[in-house]
Amino acid sequence: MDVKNIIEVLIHSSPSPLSQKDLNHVLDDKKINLEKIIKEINKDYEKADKGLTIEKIAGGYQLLSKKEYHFYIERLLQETRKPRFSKAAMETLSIVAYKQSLTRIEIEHIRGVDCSGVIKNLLDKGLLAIKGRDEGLGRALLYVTTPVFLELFGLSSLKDLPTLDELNG
Amino acid sequence: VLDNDYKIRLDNFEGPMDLLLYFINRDRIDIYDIPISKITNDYLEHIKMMELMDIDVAAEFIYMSTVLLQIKARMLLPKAMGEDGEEIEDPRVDLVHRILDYKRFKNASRDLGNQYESHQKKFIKGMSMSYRPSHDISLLITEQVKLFDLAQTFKNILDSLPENNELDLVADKINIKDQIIFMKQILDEKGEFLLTSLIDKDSSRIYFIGLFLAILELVRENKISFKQTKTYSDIHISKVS
Repeated sequence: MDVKNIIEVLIHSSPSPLSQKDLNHVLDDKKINLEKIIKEINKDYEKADKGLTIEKIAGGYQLLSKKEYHFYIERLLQETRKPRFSKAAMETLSIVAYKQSLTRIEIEHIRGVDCSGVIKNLLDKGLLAIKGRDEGLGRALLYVTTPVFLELFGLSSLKDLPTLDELNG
Repeated sequence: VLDNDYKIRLDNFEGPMDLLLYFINRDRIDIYDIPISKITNDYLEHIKMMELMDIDVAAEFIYMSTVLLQIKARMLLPKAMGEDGEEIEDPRVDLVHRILDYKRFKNASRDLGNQYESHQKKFIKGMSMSYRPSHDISLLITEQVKLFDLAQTFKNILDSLPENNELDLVADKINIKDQIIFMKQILDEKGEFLLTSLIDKDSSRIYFIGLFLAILELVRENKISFKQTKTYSDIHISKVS
């Protein structure tokens, strides 16, 4: 059977972004380079001018509709209930995304306001996680972003973040 | 004295840093050469206005005003010289760094917001609009974080106990050592068990707390490990072989 088709159906059926590890497991460790095959599949899609494309998200691959068709999908699904982020949540998320891991005090120092409520909210939503404690005095909790964050924002990894402006911007 | 635009824009300001940036943008202030006296006056006026409008001025705003006043006072002093004759740094330096840092992250958060908006226009197969991230959060929970989950699970259990369980004046006969022995027995018999299987609505709070501490102790000794499939779901406890 065509390996391209196998990978296509796996991506189609996988509940989470399909990773190289998932593929190795399915194919009993036959060395198949997932990224290379994905490129070929995407090329096929492009040639056929499809509405779908495969993107690298949170370390795996996901089959996504192209964004120019969102209007129709939203009509189909009727209600738009995607999570909304407050300005405070977005600021806190980006600070953690770029500077992780860091403590609440460090986040608050940058934002100049109390962040405990926002952090709790982001923890509850699974976008932030606690990763141990600071070595310093008080052993404050250290926060990091999660794969859920990457998935929700369509990032392949933290390296995928837009570059932070140096000083002015 | 009050500018009208203050009133309109009040809601937009999140904190003192936003307010400072607002003044900087409005008056096209060079961040590296902030007219501290003017910005302090503007800032204090703004706070006064917030109070006038019965807006609860958060402690952060007050704190920033003391920072500004302090800098202003230091600027008025004759330039101090360091021991080696070098000029002591500009009292504004820290504030400038903070403002620049904040500005960078504000921009970053705007970019990230755009990235989010754009990504939300792409859909995965058969996705319902209430987006359920498919990643299992427990995958990234570190050794220590599992303890937070455990604590949360215990808190849920304690919260679910009936009220009359609150008072337990009988001298507690449960100590951690007994609980450890008890748990080791179960593990020897079964090898693995669910945390909730130990729970009996009639047990006292002190029993659960003993259980909790016993589990922590066994984890510390590396005798047991636990697994959780979803946040706040039941916890599987198993022997470390």
